[in-house]
Amino acid sequence: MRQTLRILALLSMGTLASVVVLASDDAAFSKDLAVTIALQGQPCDKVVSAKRNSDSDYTATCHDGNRYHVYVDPNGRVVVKKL
Amino acid sequence: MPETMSLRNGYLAVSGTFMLLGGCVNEHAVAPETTSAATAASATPTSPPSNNAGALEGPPRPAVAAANDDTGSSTSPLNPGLSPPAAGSSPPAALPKSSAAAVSSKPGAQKPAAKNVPPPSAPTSAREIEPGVKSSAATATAQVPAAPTAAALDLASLEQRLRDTHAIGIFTKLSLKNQVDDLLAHFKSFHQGQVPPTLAQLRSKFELLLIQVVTVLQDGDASLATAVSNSREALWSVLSDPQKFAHM
Repeated sequence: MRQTLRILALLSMGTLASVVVLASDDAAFSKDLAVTIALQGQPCDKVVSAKRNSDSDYTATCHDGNRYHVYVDPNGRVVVKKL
Repeated sequence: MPETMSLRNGYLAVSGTFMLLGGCVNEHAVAPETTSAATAASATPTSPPSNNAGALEGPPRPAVAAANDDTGSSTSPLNPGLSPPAAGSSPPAALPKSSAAAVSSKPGAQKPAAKNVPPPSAPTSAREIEPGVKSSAATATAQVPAAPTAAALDLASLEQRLRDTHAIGIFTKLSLKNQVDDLLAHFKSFHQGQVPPTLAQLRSKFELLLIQVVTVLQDGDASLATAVSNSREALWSVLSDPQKFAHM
């Protein structure tokens, strides 16, 4: 019984840690997208959601409602297109 | 009779104690200044407190006055070279020495300092610096040796640090790299003789890009942001010089 509780506790801690890591990664990636959009001269205070279309291809939704298609073209350039 | 004697003795003892206390208080008020001056100058011969007090209270006033008179003339040639952020930054430890040297090089400033201060190694430099009055002169004198360090540029290590930093994400790095490549292409065409990108236009583009890089870096990697910001002029000198640009 005790061992089962220990295993459950470890599992829950592991899950929590992975959730925290994923959330921080998500926040960092959202910030990355927001900075990229801003560097291209487009307004975006904060990315609230990002949908992955394919490799290096995302659709970002900003806090102000603007949506952008952010991707890397075949020449290796980051392109931001307002949707 | 013995009571009056004991009273007299009591008065004497109390007055003696007050005199001692007064002496201690006076000495205590002077002592921190002497120690600060000593630590700033890093070597002062210990002399009797009364002499030191006189030496430290007396000379700085005329020395400062002389320095104030001198700062107008001595720093005026250096002022155009000063940039506001550099003036705002705290000067290094060598600052008092240089300011003291600047002050002591003037014959007018030497007179009052030499009259009262025994050591010729100018230990009063720390006290001579008054906030707001001497800071411009001090930074001006400290700025001169700082220029070669700012000019030193390790382009490879800077590039590697930018690649390795976790302060900016992949998309941002790629985006900045695109902009750097664009700017380099503009410089290349400029050095090949194409007129549309003038040097002033290139300078503004360069400044903008540098500000973007520093802005992106400053929250996550402040030291790299500082390094990039400090390399501004060195980078510009490489980019604007055709020979250096060709060897880059």
